[in-house]
Amino acid sequence: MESLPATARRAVLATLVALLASLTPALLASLTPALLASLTLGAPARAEEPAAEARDLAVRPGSVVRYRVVHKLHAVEGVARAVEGVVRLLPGGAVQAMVRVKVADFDSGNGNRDAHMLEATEAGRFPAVVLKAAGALPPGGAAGRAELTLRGELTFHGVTRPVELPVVVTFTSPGKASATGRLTVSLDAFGLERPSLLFVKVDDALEVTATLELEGPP
Amino acid sequence: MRPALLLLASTLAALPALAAEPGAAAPAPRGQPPAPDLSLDFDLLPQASPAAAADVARLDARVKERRTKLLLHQGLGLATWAALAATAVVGQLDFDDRFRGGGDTGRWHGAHKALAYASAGLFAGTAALALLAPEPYAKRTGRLDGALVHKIAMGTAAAGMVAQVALGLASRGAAGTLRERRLASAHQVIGYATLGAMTVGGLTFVF
Repeated sequence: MESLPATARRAVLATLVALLASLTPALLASLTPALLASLTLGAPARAEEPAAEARDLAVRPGSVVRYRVVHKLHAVEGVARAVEGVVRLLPGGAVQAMVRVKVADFDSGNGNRDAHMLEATEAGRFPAVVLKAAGALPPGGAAGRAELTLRGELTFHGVTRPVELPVVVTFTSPGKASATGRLTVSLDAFGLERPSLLFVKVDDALEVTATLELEGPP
Repeated sequence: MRPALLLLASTLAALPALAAEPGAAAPAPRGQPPAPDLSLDFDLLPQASPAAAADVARLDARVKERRTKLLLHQGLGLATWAALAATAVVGQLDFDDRFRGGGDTGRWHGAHKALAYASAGLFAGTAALALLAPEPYAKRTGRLDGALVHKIAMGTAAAGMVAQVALGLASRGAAGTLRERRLASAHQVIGYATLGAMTVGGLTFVF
């Protein structure tokens, strides 16, 4: 650069200024934290900051998903203890969750009724209920007790509907947590022909409660 | 000048990474951490294999047949219970008329007989619908649940139904003998027991 003539140096400087000026403010705003982050690389992370890498917590045995429907004659509760799922904790506090339960795994304590539920939900065609949702842990939420709202979609009876699910997560250690959430869905909205007893159908509202035991690498 | 060139080069190198990805979170305002990515563009579980279309069609047909038969089973079951209750009431009146100083007019006998045959026929039809209904989905078995209690109760009622028809005929066949009253009494007791078993069988679905 020193060997360049003064006019050439001025031209290079002008190009530099024009290039920098053309960068949008948003880009600069994005750039600033990136630069700051690069300056602090190697510094120890604060304890309450989210993990730098995504962490998967698998749904472990001991997890249960329950449903409750109400009929004019009685209320029915079914329990599924075979729950499949993964909760991913992303850097920045985002949480992704995917939980799947086979319809056939719900046990209401009556074999006839469970068979009827399988028929009503067309379990042969749509064997599983799947919840896929995302949310954000509050700051410092990956430790202790945290409340968050997951927003996502529930696929049931082959129909996918948006859902909002308030969840309470309790971290007992960095790699272990339990989560509880409750959701009420409309059977009609999922295109189900509601099961009936003595020609009286169950109510439209289906209450689902999930208690998940989560475990991943510490 | 070199630092300025380095800054320019690093900025240009970072440009592709700074371009917003579809579905990615919007850039956070200056001084705030970036908003978490809440998109649903992820799959954390392996895809489940879909059921074969032929299997599903066969299953659907069996489910439809089962639902039709079990719906009729419920309707006929209620009718059977009502008919059996009426048979018991009219049978009691017939018993009182013949053996308890009613004058032995026989005015209830025809109605009792008709109701008895009707309830026996309804019971057989109701049972046949349940027994012939296909089972497209495997049931949990081997535990004492409402379904098993229903089957036990209805099995008891079926035995009672056969016994009371036989005892009713035997009682009538022994008309005028000393055995008639004993047979009629046994017929009466079994009739009430049958009605009780049917009631228990029906109530299992309520609880």
